[in-house]
Amino acid sequence: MRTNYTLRSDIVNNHSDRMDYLKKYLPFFRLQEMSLSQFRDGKYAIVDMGYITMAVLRYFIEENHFNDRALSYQEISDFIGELLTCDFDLKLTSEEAKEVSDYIFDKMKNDGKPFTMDYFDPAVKKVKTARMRLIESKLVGSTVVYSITADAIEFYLETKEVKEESKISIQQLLLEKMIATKNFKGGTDVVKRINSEVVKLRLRKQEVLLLLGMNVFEGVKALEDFQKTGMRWFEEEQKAFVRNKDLIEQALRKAEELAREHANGSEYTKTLEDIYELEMELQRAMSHHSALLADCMELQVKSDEIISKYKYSRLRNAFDFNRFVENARNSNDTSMLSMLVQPLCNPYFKKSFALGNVDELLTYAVNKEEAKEVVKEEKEEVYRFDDELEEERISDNYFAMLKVLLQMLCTRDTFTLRDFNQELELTFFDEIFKNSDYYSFLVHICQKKEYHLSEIIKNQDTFFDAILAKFLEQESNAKYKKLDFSLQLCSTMEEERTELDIIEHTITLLDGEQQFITSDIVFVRKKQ
Amino acid sequence: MMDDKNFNLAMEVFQALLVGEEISMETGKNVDLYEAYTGNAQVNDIVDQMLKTLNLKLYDYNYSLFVSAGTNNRVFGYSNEELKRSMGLRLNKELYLCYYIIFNVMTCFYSDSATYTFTEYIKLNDVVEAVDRSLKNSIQNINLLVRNELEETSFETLTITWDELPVMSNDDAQGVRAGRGSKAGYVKIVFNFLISQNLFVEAQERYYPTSRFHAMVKNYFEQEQGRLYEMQRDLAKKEENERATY
Repeated sequence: MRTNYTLRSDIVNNHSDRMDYLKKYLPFFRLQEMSLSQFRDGKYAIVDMGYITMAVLRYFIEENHFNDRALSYQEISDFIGELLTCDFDLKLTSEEAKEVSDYIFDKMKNDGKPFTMDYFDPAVKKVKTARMRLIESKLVGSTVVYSITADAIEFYLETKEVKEESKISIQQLLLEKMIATKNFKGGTDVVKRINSEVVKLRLRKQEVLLLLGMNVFEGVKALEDFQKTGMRWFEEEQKAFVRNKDLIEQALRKAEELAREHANGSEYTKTLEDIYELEMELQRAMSHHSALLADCMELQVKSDEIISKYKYSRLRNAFDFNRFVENARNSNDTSMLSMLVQPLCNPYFKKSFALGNVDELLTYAVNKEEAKEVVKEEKEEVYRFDDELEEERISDNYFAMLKVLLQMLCTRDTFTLRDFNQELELTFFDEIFKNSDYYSFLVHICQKKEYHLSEIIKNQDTFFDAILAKFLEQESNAKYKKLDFSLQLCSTMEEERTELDIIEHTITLLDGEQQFITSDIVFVRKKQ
Repeated sequence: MMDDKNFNLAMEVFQALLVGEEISMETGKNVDLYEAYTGNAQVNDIVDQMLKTLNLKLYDYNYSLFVSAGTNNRVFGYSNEELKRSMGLRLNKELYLCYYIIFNVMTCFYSDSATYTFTEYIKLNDVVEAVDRSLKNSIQNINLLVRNELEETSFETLTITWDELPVMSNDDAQGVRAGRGSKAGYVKIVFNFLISQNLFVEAQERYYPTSRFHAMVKNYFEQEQGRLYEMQRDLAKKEENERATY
């Protein structure tokens, strides 16, 4: 059962992560499947889109990251044209080449939209959409330039290299292995790849800084991410470089020995050249690394500066637009942005004339008298506050209990609270003893010993009197107006108290059951 | 006793403000009205009183007078529908995107209502880039999302609407035209609107903010910030309650 559970939770909870990882490969297979056999009567059926995709990605990495420049449409189009003529032996006129390469490139950038894949996430039981794009575009001046996305770089590197969290240290290990097996040429490639990773990190640092400048909260989040993933390998990697340098020197010595043994001059020079190239590339990598290190230090200093500046600026009496938008973002409501835009507008007059009415202008019959404007009657809204509602409830309940009390006084000369309770229970069931108004009624009524109802109508001393007066104002209650009665509390009577005088109620309060004890009361009607 | 002459003068100022006529010492338009408003206490009182009754705000900036309907003004403010019509938009989410673009235009000039960045003008692609940058993180986080559940007013919808647009559409080869087909087209829609509201002027594809823009940003938001935050909070609370009742 337990293994079953672990298995299930592994399947369910990790599915989303796996899909997220897989989405990198999505554009490639979409493009690979796309065949050109339908395009221009199958003239270009031989063209393999998978190959073209990989080649274009490599071209982007070269230009974007090694040469630090974005590409224009024309350059990409030329590059694809070249591939078609060289690798697929297609004889194309320049117009044909342009047409087919435009078509291919449009497919690769998916007309500016990301490639999407819908999948079911069993953990939240919902359909999610994974999005991925290979190429992104930017407007520089009035021309559009293209560059490769970070996801696409990752995809490209993963097609040949090992996937690990910290790609750079893995590549370092790979490099060590290659030097040890005298594969200097492969080593050079690896170092080049490390360089491109470093360049990527430096670009990311720029992005983080820009983000910090615009939105401190988002920026801080990005900064944390960057520090977690990007800077982790700094500690180990400097040592690894030193090791690699040692290895290269060893390799050089080995090569010299080899050369002496075999006396094969050309092979020796070839190996030496490879080693030299590798060493140069390593040197470059090291300088890249120290630049990255400096960048990271700078990022730290600048981010501290920005954050402290932001802290002070929050105290100033100025309206911070970013903060407002940040709040809107937190409650995820873009309609709040209208508050920023509306004040900027000119006062707006609602005048409109529908063009369709032009036809009716000539045929329009003018009324002899002007029609009256119809004013709709709108109900005025009455606000009722919480305390008003409360008061209403209390007086309703009091009225009900008063009615019972006064009715009993009419029929009996004297009776006790116990009798009163019985009567209440008959009328309202025992629910009434759970009602807090019952208890407050008793408290209020005990404030005075004697009640002359005819007097009370004229002037009221207490809150209870006021309610009583209101009660008596009702026509149906006019018959009680002449009643006079008094209360005798058993607790104040001189006679010895018996257990019978105590009435207990158990009430459930929010914090548990509690007993509510009242001593008995004797109600006495005064003779008129 | 109210002086008839002053009353008439005040009405003239009021009318000029309402119909959007310029009252400015700087450009020399309606100088007499400006002087009447600033120099004559009674005129000043009457105009202020009338504006206050109609919930309009008046700002004296750079020797010119500007009036604004403020937020949620039912008489003189724009409703969502009216704004959509005047910008030529169809859906609410498109309008919200335009709001967001306007916010980005504002922050190109002012990081907050008191800090002018001394930017003289901006170009279309500056704004495209600014929006791109400010949404960059959201775009990265949005790679995984539940599409069916997106609300019209959510930031995810806004981000996707923006992200799925091409930078320029094919029709823009001869210069960008306002339209809903591309990022640049949207920014152009926004600028056309801002120009119609006398907030920007265009010269050779550069957009310069007007005194009206500076006056509104510097004064309105600083003076009304308490109310704005309060309205925002109420709205957030209301939504939370609505969500809780489902």
